[in-house]
Parts: sequence; C-alpha cells; structure tokens
Amino acid sequence: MGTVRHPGLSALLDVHSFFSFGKGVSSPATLAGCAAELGYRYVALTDELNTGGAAELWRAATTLGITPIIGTTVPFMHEGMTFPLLVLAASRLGYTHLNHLLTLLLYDGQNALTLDQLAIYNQDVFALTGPRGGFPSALIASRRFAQLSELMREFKTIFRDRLYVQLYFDEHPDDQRRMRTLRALAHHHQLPAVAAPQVRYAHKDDYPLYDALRCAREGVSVHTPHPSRPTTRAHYVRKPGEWANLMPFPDALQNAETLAKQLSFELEPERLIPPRVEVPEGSTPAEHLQNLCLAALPETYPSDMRAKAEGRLHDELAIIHYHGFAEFFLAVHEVMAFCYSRAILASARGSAAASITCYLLGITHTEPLANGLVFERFLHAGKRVTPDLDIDIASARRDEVLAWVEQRFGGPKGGHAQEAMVANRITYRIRSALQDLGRALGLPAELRNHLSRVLGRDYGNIRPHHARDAEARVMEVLGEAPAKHWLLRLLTSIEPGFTRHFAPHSGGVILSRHALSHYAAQFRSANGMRVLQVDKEDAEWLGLIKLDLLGLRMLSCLERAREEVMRTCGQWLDVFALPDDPEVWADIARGDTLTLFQIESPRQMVISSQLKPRCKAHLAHQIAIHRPGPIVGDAMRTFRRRHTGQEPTRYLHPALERCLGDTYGTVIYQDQVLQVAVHFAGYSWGEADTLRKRLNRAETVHDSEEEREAFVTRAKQHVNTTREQADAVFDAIRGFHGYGFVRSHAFAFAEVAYASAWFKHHHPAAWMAAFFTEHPGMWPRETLRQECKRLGVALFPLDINCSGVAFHAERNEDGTLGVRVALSAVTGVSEEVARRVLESRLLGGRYTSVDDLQARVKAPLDALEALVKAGAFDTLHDRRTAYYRLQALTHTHAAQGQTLFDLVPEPPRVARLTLSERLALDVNTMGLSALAVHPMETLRYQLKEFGVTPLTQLTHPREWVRTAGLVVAKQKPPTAGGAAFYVIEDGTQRVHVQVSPEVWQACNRVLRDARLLIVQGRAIQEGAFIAIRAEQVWEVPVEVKVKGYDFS
Amino acid sequence: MITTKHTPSSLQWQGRTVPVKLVLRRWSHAGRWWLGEAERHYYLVELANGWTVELYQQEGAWVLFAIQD
Repeated sequence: MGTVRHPGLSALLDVHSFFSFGKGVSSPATLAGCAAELGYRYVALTDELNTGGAAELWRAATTLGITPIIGTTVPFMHEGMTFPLLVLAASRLGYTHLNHLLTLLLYDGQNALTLDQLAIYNQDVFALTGPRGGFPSALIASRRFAQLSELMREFKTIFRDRLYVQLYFDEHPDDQRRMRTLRALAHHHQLPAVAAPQVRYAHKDDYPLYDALRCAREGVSVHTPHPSRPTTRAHYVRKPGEWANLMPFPDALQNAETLAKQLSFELEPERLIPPRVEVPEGSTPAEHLQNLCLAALPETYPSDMRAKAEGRLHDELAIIHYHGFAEFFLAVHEVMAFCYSRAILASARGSAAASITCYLLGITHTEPLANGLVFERFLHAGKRVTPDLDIDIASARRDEVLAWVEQRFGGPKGGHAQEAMVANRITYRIRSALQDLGRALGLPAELRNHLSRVLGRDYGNIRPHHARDAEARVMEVLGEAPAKHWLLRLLTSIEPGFTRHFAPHSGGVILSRHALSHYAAQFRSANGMRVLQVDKEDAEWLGLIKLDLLGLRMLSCLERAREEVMRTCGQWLDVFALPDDPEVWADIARGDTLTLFQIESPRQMVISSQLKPRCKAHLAHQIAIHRPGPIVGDAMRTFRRRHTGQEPTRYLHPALERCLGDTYGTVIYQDQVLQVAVHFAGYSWGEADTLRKRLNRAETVHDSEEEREAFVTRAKQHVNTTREQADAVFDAIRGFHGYGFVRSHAFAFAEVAYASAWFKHHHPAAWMAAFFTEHPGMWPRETLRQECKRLGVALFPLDINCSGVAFHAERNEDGTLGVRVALSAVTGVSEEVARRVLESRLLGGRYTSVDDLQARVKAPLDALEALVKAGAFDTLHDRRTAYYRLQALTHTHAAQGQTLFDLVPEPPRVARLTLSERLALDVNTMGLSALAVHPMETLRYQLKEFGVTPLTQLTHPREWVRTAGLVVAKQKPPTAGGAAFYVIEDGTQRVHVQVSPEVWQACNRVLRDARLLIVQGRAIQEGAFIAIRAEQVWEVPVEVKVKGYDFS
Repeated sequence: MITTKHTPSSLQWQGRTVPVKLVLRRWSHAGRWWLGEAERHYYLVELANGWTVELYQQEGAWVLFAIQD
C-alpha cells in the first residue's frame, strides 16, 4: 500500500509584513489576499518587534474569509546569546501578553527578554522555537547540545503543551537534513514539530526589493555581502501543495492546522471605550456631565434663548449617553480646565466642537445656535462612532499640558500605562524611498540629494509606485546608467502605503480605560514619549479614543502678545472675548492681513479685500473657502460674486436653502455635504457620512457613478425633484472633492484670526514682538520688519545691553512702543546662550565691551562671533573692531577671567563697514535689519539700467511692466494646474507674481534659485492689489539671503 | 539533462543516459539581481552508475557543476 500524500499546508505561521521595518515588504492585507487566493485557511502575522499590522491583517483576512492569527517575533537571551522566538496569541489575554513583552523591549529599553519574563507573560501564548536563527538551529550549528537540552527543558516548563519546534525550508544547502534533525529533536523532547516556513514577501518578484531594503537597513550596498541578507528567493507565499513536497513531514504539516485552530479570537470591540474619570459620589458620569452643563446654562444664554439651548442640550446629552461618551467629554473638560488654570490658551475644534455641550463646558468659544453649527455629523454617524475633538494649545506650553495629562490619566506605572501618544505611520514618498534604495544601489549621498532636489515640487511628493512619472527627472541625473533602471523598478514595486517606520503623531493622545497593552504595544520615542504602536485609525478600530492635543504657534503668539500688553500697558486681555471693533474689520477689508491667523497668505489678502468680512461668521466662511474642496468645486468664485452682490443667490432646489442659506447656495463645509444628503436626498446621517467618504475617495467622475444613481433616486423620492436637478445637486457636492473644513473648525479658527487682527490693530508693537518671536506665519523676518515700518513701529537694533532672549516691546524716547531685536534671533545663538547673557547683565550690570562679555559669560566662540557679526556690540565698538578684539582675546587665552593688563593690542586701522555690508551682515545673521534701508535700495541704479520700474511705482494695472523685488514667498499648490505664485518685495511694497505652467517650465532653474527676480509681464488688478502675470523672469545676484516661505 | 517536475531524473552525457538514483540535496542561490543574474537551483544527485554530481539550473539551462568521486 502506497503512502497517501499530504494535501499541503493550510496555515502560514511565520509571516513578516513591512511592519517588520526592513525585514518584510508586503502589507498585511496583500499577504492575506495572497494566502486566501492560494487556498490557505489561516494566515499569521509575526512581525519582528511589532504588532502594528494586527488590525490591518484582521480586517483583510476576515473580509476574505480566512482566519487571522496575531503573533510577533521577539528576542530572548540565554547565557549571553540572543535568539528569536515566535509567540502567537490564542486569546485577547494572550494578545495583551505579547504587547506587554514588546513594551518591555521597546519602551523599557531591554535588548532581549529573559526566561523569567516569558514565564510570567505566557498565558494563552503559544511559542515556536524560531527559524534559522532560532535557538535549536543556532545551538545545533555551534554544537552546544547541553545548552540546547537545557533550553528545551526550560521552554517546556514555561509553555508546557504550547511549545512547538519550528521546521522551515528556505532553499539553503542542508535544509532538508536540518528539518529531519529538528523533527528528531522534537520527538526526543516529546514536543510537536510544526511546518512554519518563513514568508517575508507575497510574490517571488518582490525579492530584489526585499534584499535592497535589507541592505538599506544594514547600511551596506548590494555589492557588499552581509550575513543578514537573504541569499535565496524562497520567502514568498507558495502554493499549499508545494510544501508537501518540500517539507515531507505529514505530522508537521498537520500540526500547523492543529495549532492554527487554537489561535482564533476576536480583536475588534463593539464600541469605543472612553477613559475613566472621577465623578462626585452618587453620580454617574452622564449625570455629572448633565449637571455641569445645566449649571453653566443660565450664565451663558440669555433667557430668550435658554429654552432652545436647553432643548438642544438634552438632545446632545441623550446621544452622548447612548454612545457612552460622557466620560470622554468630562476628560476633555478637565484638560481645558487645567489650561485655564494655568492661563494656557487652548481652543477646541472638530465636529464634536459644534455642540452646546462643549460650549457650556468651556471647551469651545463659538456659540453653536447662532452660528449654525451642526451637531449631527458627530454622533449620528452610526453605531461605532468616533468623537472628533481636537484641542489646539499654545505650542510653547503644550509639553506642560501633555505632562499633566500623563500624570492625570496615565494610570499605574510599569507595564499598565493608560495614556500614550498614538503613532503616525511614516510611509514612503519618492524622496525617502530613493534615499533608502539609492543607498542600497550604491549611489553616493551627493547624487541622491541632487536627485531629490531635481524632483522638485512637481514630483518630490509622489508615491514611489508612480515613480515612472518622474522618469525624465531621474534620467536628468542618472542618464541611462543601470542604476536608473533598477532604481525605477524598485521604486515602482513599493506598495502604496508602505510603512517605513512609526513616529509619534503630532498631537494624538490616547486616554484608555484599561492598560494600553490590552490594545497595542508601546515604544519610546526619541524624546522619551510613550507611543502606541498603532496609527490613529487602527487605534480607533481597536476601541480606543484619541484626543488630539495639537501645538498651535499662533496661540503662543497671542499668549506672548497678551503678556507684552500687560507688561507695557498694565492691561490683561481675555483673548477669546475681545470687543467687536469696526476698525479691526476695516483693516481686514483692506487686505491688511499680514501676520493674521489663516488669512495672511497672498491669496487670502486678495480675498479679504474682495469679501470684506464684517463678522466672525464671514471670517469663518473666508477661511473655509480657500481650501482644496471649495476651490476644486468652484464654490469660491460663486461665493465671492454672491457675497459681493454681483449675482443673486440661487438654490438648485428650495430644499437646499436650509443647508446652504448662509453660504449663498454654495457648498463650502464638510457638514453641508451631509446636510444636503440628509435634507435633499433623505439619507440618514450615517449614510451621508459614508457618501462623503466615498466621494472623497473617488478620483474621477466615473468612480462616483454608483453614488450618483443612488443619490438621484433617493432625492427624487424625498423632495420630488427632477433627474436634472438631482444631478446638478450631486455635481455640487461631488465638486467638493478633497479637503475642506468642518464648520465648527472654521469658526474656531475665525476666533483666533479675529484675536490676531485685534492685537495687531490695538497693540502693534506687542503683536509684532510676539510674532517675531513665535514666527507662526509664512513670511520671512525681513518682510515682517517692513511691516513694522508700515505700521509705524520702530525696530530697535540688536544690542548686548538691551536685547532679551526673545523680541520684546520697548518704549522709545517719545513714549511710543517699538520692538527690540532678540539675542536668540541671531543664527548660532541658542536660547541657552542668550539666557546666560541676560542673567549676567541682570546680576552684574551692563557690559562695557566685548572683553567684558567674554570674561563674564561662558559661551562658545561661534556664538560670540555671531553676536558680533550681527551688531550686538555696535554701541560699544565698531563691528570690525569688536570682531578683532574677540579673536585676539580668544587667542591670548584671556577668555575666562579679568587680567591685570590689557593683553589685546590696538586693532589695525581698517575701514568701517559700509551700509550695504552692515545690511547684508544683519540680514544674513538674523534675517532682518533694523537699518532704515531695504536691500533693494542698494541696487537702484543697477536695476534702472535693466529698465526696471520699482514696485512702489506700480499703483495701477497696465499692459506691460518690468519690475523687480526680493523673492519672499513661493507657492505651487496642487490645485493650481501647474501654475506657481511668487511674492516679490521692495521695501514695504509687495507684489504677487503669477507664473503660468509654461513660464514655470521655461524658467524653472531661475525660479528655483533666484533671490532677486526681475519680472516682466502684464500688471493686473486683484482685489485691492496689483499682481503681475509673468511672461519672462531673470535673476539678479544679491548678497542678502532672505529665507522666505518656499513651497515650490 | 532530463527532468520530471523540474527535478533531474536522468543525465545525458557523452551520448549515454544515466538515471538519477537519488536527489541527495537541493538548494538555490538568488544571484546578483542588480547585475541581471537569474536564480540558480542546485542539486546534488547520486547517479545509477555510482557517481555523485552537482548540477544547477539557471534560466532553463542545466550546468554540470562538479563530479565527485
């Protein structure tokens, strides 16, 4: 009787995805798809030091009808040797233990686990002895049989019947003999052997990418052998039947299925679980939330609005209670209360910010009823919803808040933390991919950097799988070298969404009710933060609630300005309750918006002068309208014409007036897409949100045809409309494609924008001092300096005896306030050095010379040199003399103490610095100069020879101009169809330059590199401003380096 | 070389056909992909005439790599 051949392997138990960071190249979803297609019934993910792909595998595998298995590969140490071990979870408890073991390694900084730790955290955990580097293979290879026997006994004691000896075959010489040996070892120790071949990529063709990324991780090129590089192409997903031939051990093949059957558990919870907060005894969280809101109601709403507000509040609280989110709102309330108690400016936004609940709790500053903020989008979206609430915090004080949140919600120390940052999946863009792959292919760093630069704005951010689009640019650098072929081939083989590594999210904090290991492992970031090993989507999928605590520099700027006003005028201002002032609105209406939050860009200046907003609602609309969604949907032009009375407001159907009334029939907010779907087509809020997401994902008109048909059919039924009308309405919401604001988000920003305008109008010196220091905007310092000049705010030069660490307002002799340049404004002078200079001046009095400073302040020579070059000693010495003395002092070793005699010889007679030399030194060391002249003044005659008309003389549009200015901003937005936008400056005058795609192509190098541009073209009127449509540009070499906003 | 399901089954050499008695070992080598090299599949086989030979297959072609006495 012949032997019956085993049908093959049914479970893949040792699988790495790209979450193994350099040791795998396929996504969990691709691996699951490949396994399902070939007929496997189980697929595991055992990424090295990572369970970050668990959620993705789970979703993909269960959709495909196969069973996902979650595990990881961890190192353990025995007798000074480290071995990999595969651990697989059999239940949620087992999964928690895996995460706990990973956290010991990744957060606590252990290099490897100990057997004692494995003995503690092994309940519901199965172990495989590991592949080639695993202890059985490694110890047999090194003939350490006694240690092997000891370890086998130890592991058997720890894992009992949950230990399997792993058999693998990856086409190395002697693999078959090794399998037989390992199987014999298993029998000897009365343990099961299991067939668990290593899978590191889905398809055999992925091997070059796998090898190249291994090289990149090891820091070697493909030409250099390395022990961790794969020498075979065997690590792909083979057909199940092939394994019966390659691993002819029916018991081991069968054991794979036997084991896999024990490794199934539910990962996805039914609902999100809020953190635990303390409530008064006898109250439930829901009751406490209600009491807080009701207590605030009378003082917040006048009696005529109270009934309406209370009605809506009860509706909101019912929904919050239904979803079990009372504790989440209470937790946010606590965070905001902490901010208020420390005078830290904070402001909430997001769809949950549209609620009266948040307004009454002091979480938001915009009243929802009067401003039409819609609450439904937040919590009516379905059974599993996410409370969307982001808190902007003054960035300079965000760490204070994070530290408090960790202390308040962090839970017990050790492995049971309940608070952590959520991770960002850092995925490959073409630039990062070509750095890694270029290094692997042996391209020198200079060549890789040059290639990155040449990709420019047009191709620099594309995904690697679209690398063929940039082939011409790659050829420009690499020609037809073989490296070009392989670079492009490897780049295009990178999967979309390929995760290179995890990094902390910019502000997402997880507040958990249970220990975080219940959900995911945690790692320590470079700056010591605890970070969850999942991104925000997966964290929410796993049942966690994220609270975004984001740093906003504009809030720091407002805080600083408020303090400057207090110091100089003795007045403490409530930033979110500033009086409504027509003069502030008049400033905005003139387009005088430089330094104002969200409306300071060249385009927003023009829009301000066109729309002339007169209230915060107008301002919110203005902020929201200049976003990709409304721009692409062409709502912007229609809105402007209707707002300014150039055309009447029309609605495609009367039912839309309810949704689009205050935006003149145009769709500019995300909420309005939902409202239209609900009120016009009869969708539920959940269905409407699904529609919005699908429309966002659709890349072409054809992609959304299915949605169109459903929308039209339902609209015809719901409001008895015609096919044509329903089509037109669908086109309007479909046009809102891409990123757009939620209404409450725009209103929250409008509050901050107005506050910035108010400070600038009423306290310009305090405002500009704060703005120089925090620098939250897009404009270079020299442009801000010109703005000071325009506002009549004096700029006092850097002075070692007057300047502080930061810019500050200072009284002039005539009593007016100006701005003093800060010590830390000088490049090369750290805040720490500036603080030392200040401390010594406060303690020991004014400095009398550069010698005096050097004797009193311990600072690096380059920092002192930078201060001298920037003119900090101009009131004590000529700049060249100061520099001579500093160098002489340094070289006569008199730096650290007073000497009896002056060891520094008299400086030789040298010419004093000219005005243009001082100007160039100022701008190049600090980015600005307190001198009255603008750098353009030093080139007047030269520019006249070129026939240039100064910007100041361009007061009316005319057919043709040739003008010039320093380049202070460059933009090339993706929504502009290849056009670019520049701003050139001459003194207080700035002009916008529109660069067509043709001019961009023809003059790319000049536009990329020029500091000073001569522009020839047509002058046009744009709102209150003159702009130029460039037809030709030239570069003029200049000494000064103005580092402006560059998004080209 | 004559193969059955990609595995060598007999060797034709100098006009004679010698059956493969036993495949002793099989392994592969990835090759230098960046130079365009294909993967090699190696076999150590014992022939019916008592010889032990090492062969490899690359891009469909067979190469007799070594004969062991």
